[in-house]
Amino acid sequence: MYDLYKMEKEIQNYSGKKPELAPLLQLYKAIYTTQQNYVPKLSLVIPTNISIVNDKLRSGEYLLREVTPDFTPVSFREVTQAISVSICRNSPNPPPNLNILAKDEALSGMNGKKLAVELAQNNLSDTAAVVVNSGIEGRTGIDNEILQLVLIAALATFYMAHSQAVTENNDFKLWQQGYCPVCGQYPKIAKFREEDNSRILHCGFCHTEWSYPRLKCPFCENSEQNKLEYFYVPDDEARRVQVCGNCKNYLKTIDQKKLAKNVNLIVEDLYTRQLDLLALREGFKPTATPLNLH
Amino acid sequence: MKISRRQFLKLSGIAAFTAMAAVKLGCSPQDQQDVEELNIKYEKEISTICPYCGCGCGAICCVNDTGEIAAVIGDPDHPINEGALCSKGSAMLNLRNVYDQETGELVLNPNRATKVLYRAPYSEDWEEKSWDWSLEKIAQRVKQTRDDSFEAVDKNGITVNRTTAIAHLGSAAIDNEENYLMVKLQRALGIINLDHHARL
Repeated sequence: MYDLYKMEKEIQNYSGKKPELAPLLQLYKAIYTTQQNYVPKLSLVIPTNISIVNDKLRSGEYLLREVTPDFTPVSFREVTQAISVSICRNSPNPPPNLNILAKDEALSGMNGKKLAVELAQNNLSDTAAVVVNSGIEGRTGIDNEILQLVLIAALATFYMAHSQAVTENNDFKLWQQGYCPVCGQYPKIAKFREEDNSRILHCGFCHTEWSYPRLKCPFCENSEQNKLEYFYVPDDEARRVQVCGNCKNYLKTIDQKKLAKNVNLIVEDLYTRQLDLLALREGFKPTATPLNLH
Repeated sequence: MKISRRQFLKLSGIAAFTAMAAVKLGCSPQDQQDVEELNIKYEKEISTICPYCGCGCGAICCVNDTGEIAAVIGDPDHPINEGALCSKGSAMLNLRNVYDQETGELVLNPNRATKVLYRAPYSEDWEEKSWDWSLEKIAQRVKQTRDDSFEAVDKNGITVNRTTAIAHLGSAAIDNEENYLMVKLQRALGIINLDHHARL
């Protein structure tokens, strides 16, 4: 996990450089802080023993494959409520009904667990449809995209708990796949480690980090060097976009050696929004279709 | 260029969902920079092996779109050096490019031989030759020397099948497998004067 104090410093630094991003960075930090507050309270559904974890990693199966997190003793509803409150407190225009979200029937009692399981068993790209089917939008009047943010942030907290518990004893050296060893999602951003130039991928969902060959596409496993390129804006060579000519996916990558600091990839992901737009302009896709969480 | 928030929907991760909902929460950047005209540079990473010694460390060359090498770094995924390079390996870029002492610009290394040079017996000048010509010439001279000096038996009548007119000095920059093949070739020719060139 990232140190919250250092994260705040980083956000202050970047807010000075790009003031227009300050509200977005602060909002995300508030969500992340809320998630971190709940992580120690959540129970785990997989063993974190190093040899058991390594056996599973060797087999190429991500740890939470076909496993649904335990939504007790802290309920999905409670985490959702906390995330809603933090969004209301840290948004310039908080949605008026967001504070009543936790009271909606879709989140009460067993329904809350059912909704969480449904979100976990669907693909992240299907979240909008799950939200529509739950009927929350119609009953509360809260915008679908805001509901997606709240529910996915709450769900991710349960996966973050597993990621952080496993990461305490394991550096995922045995994991050789391009998707996250904990939740199975494709990486959102990456960094080159300062000490040895190796590429560390970062899961945007549960924030797990693992190393992956530098000259190989994590999305299609293409290792033909003539089809792997990267681009950067000339006045910022430390932040690049690695692109694959085979699958047309891209991955933002931060070179820690050039920045001479340990970067916070969560902050960098939002700070480098411009690179996402440039990659789209160049005809590349954000990320491969996410894998199912379940 | 206008990128719709719908396009951000395709991004995975919480940051993407935050960015997607940001407009409705009032914290989306108002002055989103227009990226249509923004200049970018493309480069490629090509893996190579350090030529200096027999360790065979892996390196990555960062090559720009005009084919120039912009940087050379240690290959983190190479099992021998795992991203590290010694001081000579770190300066590998200077095999091809050096800094001009007057201008400070990176220019092609003027001392780097890029073509075969041949100096004929008793000549003071070097001539440029093709690779085909050179390999042919080497083969002819090796064959000629071996044939002229080959001994099937020594003065005691013992079969030796050797030539003492050719010697072979190995290279510090080749690996075990290459050394094996080179020795195999020399032994097949009957060369017995073999020595290594270890840089220890």
